[in-house]
Amino acid sequence: MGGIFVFVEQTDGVLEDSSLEVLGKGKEISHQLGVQLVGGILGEGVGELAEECARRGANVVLAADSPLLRNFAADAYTEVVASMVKSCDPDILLIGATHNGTALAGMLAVRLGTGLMAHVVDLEIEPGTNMLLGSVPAFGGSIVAVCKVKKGRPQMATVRTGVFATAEATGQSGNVEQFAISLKEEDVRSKVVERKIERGTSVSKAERVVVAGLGCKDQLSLPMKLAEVTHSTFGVSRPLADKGMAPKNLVIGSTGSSLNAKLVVVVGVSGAAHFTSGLRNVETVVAVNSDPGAEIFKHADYCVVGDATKVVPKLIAELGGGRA
Amino acid sequence: MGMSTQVPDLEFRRVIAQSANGALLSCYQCGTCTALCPLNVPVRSIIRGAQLGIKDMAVTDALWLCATCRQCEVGCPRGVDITGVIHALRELSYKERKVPGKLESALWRVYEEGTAWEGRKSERARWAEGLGVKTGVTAKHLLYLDDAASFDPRLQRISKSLVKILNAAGVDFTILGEKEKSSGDEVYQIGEEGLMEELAQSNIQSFKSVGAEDIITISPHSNGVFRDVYPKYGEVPPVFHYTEFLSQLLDQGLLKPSHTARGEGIAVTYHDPCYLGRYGGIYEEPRKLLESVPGVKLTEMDDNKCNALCCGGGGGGMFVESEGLRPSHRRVSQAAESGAEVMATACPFCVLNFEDGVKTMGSSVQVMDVAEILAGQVGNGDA
Amino acid sequence: MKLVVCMKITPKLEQVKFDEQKKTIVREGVENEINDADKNALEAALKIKDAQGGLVVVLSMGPPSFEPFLRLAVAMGADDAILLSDRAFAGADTYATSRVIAAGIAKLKPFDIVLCGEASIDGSTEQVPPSVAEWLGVPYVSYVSELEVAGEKLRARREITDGREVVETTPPALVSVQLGCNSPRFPDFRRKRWADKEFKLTTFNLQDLGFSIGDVGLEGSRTEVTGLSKMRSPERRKEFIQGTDEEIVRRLGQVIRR
Repeated sequence: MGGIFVFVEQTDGVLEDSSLEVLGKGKEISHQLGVQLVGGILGEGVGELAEECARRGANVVLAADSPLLRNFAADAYTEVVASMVKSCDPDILLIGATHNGTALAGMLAVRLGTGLMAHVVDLEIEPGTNMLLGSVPAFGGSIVAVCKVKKGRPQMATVRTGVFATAEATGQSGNVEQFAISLKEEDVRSKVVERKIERGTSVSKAERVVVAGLGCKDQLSLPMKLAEVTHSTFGVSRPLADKGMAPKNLVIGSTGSSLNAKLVVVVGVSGAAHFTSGLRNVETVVAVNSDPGAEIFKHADYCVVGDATKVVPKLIAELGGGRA
Repeated sequence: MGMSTQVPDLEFRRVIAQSANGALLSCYQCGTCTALCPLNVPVRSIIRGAQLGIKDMAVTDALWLCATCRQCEVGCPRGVDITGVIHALRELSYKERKVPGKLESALWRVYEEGTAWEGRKSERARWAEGLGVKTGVTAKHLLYLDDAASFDPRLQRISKSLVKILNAAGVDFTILGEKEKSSGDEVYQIGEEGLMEELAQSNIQSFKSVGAEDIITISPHSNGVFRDVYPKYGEVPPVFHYTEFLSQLLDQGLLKPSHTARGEGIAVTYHDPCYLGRYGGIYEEPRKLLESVPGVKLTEMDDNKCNALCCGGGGGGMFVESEGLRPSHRRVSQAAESGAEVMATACPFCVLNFEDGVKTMGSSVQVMDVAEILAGQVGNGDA
Repeated sequence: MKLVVCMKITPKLEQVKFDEQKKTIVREGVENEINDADKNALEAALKIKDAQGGLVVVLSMGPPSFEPFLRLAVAMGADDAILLSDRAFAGADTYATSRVIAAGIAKLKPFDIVLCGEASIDGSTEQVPPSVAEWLGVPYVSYVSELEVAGEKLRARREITDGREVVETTPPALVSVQLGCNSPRFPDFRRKRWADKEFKLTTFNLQDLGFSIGDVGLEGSRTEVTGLSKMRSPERRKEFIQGTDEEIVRRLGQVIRR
């Protein structure tokens, strides 16, 4: 049958930004190839969300609605999505690279015996063959490998958050179809017994971001205050989240989000490749670091050599924020 | 409130008594140590626990707050080897895996990257790029940086200043470059003997390979471990802290410190690092070097020389979080009270801790290493 | 209780260079290390062993030069180590890699828990753990920060993109362990001496795992690399703002207010 299939992830009734971005790119590719775009959504009471996907570009949305699918479980979701894929036989399968998305993709690729390009930062159609080409960052993100699936269908890819634009409503609407499942309780082999969701402003959507790194030592209140006075969203480099000083959804870089802001102020970040790859789509980058040879300065427009914990308070005062 | 009966652990008591070499017998529990401790370690009670064999009293989290500064030993009327007892207890604590996580990850870094400080092996000598420093070849002296002065951007300024001074004085020296490994001070403080042995043996080999007559260090902590721990594993050349070495050059008229950047004089006070002062007995040489710089007016703080207030960095202190006001904060206030604009010291850990203190106290005192002052940096604002 | 820990031995990234002319990765002289997240996985397994006993086996796919690292894992406390090694395994993508690893683990049946680090520092695909789980047909729980055996069940605290969860599953199961979630114990050097000199490491090759060449390595991969390039970075001004603190901050203020 061909076409593009996009797995749309929802958590507690909210569509994941990552999935909406992949839906948008999926729509673009489906136009390019002149094929259908099918969205697959799983959960409990997902009728409204399915309609939303249909409004945002999916020609068909397969909705699997069941209490058994209320929370993500890798095995149950793999089973259902594999059935969906079997039923519409797509040529390409795209999934947003959230934690759950990567779990699903890894199992699905083996279930379907196909190739999977992980965490792509770009997708293209190869002229002539119409095969999907995925740009996969490697070696910490300093190198990009362009990959394709050499055996197996559908061609699979997981897409890094923040790389593509969100699918917008098109004015038209596709069809929502209920997808029947034959899942039993015992097929869901992992059960969520407790959960706490903390949704903040998406860093990848923010117009302005202040990013803090290890150079801020443990004085995160300083860059956070700077974010406040500049009306920016606050983000962190990976090591701060690893140390438990900030939640993971604030991480910028290859294991987190890509930024699309107009202005990003990077404070106390050395600028390793896995971080700077998240700055590629940023219009203006300001960097503060105490090491004049820091890698970050190669990826910044305005560079200040100085101690973050000294510069930031002065900057806050200059911007009218008073004493930090 | 009930009375609880504690049964002494005699084996524990025997092990500690043996490692502490009789120290436990001398202590008569006067409590002077606890009163003097700048880090609020309950020293007296820890020793009591060891004396009685009550493990819970002796092997506590507080063990890791000790910066091994020896202020307690200065005041102890019985001359108890208190840091010896602390070390023995830490070895035991480490064997039972009761050690702060950050120190444990420092061990991995020493093993895999040759540094306790965050940094990668292949980037160790980046600070020396473009300075034309002899690396890994035979020379009269070996300049040994250790981890902090190699990797920390603030401290690399000290390394560069020292190179400038040595070059100006025509000293023939080499560095080990990427092959330099951590002195192992933190490894020793944690009590990881296996790694300590391997590291010491490897370093001793490196020292032999450049055939230097002696070793010049930047950090007094390097001196500490080379002098007190390494002889167990092999022969080490004589080790001098750079203040000792430069002081000799000064006496020989080979050192010509530049003028201060400001025309008029500048008030400088000197903080005696624990590992240079109390451990190494070096008090006069750094002062002599400072006074040789035209325009420098030396002031003295309260609690100086053998009573200097520890910055909190020794004994693995750079890797352990401490709560509340650190002693380095109080020390910064003392510097200002002495009328000084510049607080000079001769230890990388002190520099970092006092700069932290200056930030926290909102002080205008500038913290500099003696080498930076000699290299003509004083009075330059942010050097 | 048998715990199998999958370990990847990865190159030290800062030593890896990219040859822009030949468009290849230069691996000569690059040192290796145990992938950090896999150390966390091993520590999680050893913690369970400390609490209730059991056997911890580490397993890795790679050339014989990986042996010292497996011995290091034994020095940390692992009871046994398996190396899956064969020229044919080389050049594998995550599909072929996970297939070989799953076959290696299958030879250790019955097992209770398989632990993997969440991702490797070089590939960072995060795909091998779920793929191995699928090959083995066991449940998969990812990004686990804490793992507890509670009677017949496994309780895992996990981090998800927007928060955290506690998930229960029944062994045999596979979990991926979050980077940095625990402090990996430093090896016991006395045990290390034994591990280096006397411990007998087991190696499985293509035949031992019952594969033919087309199933594994480059041949058995489902994806291929068509080209390598340095990550494109947009041209930046790289303008260093100089001057006094006041001047610098004023200029920054200008840039920010624009």
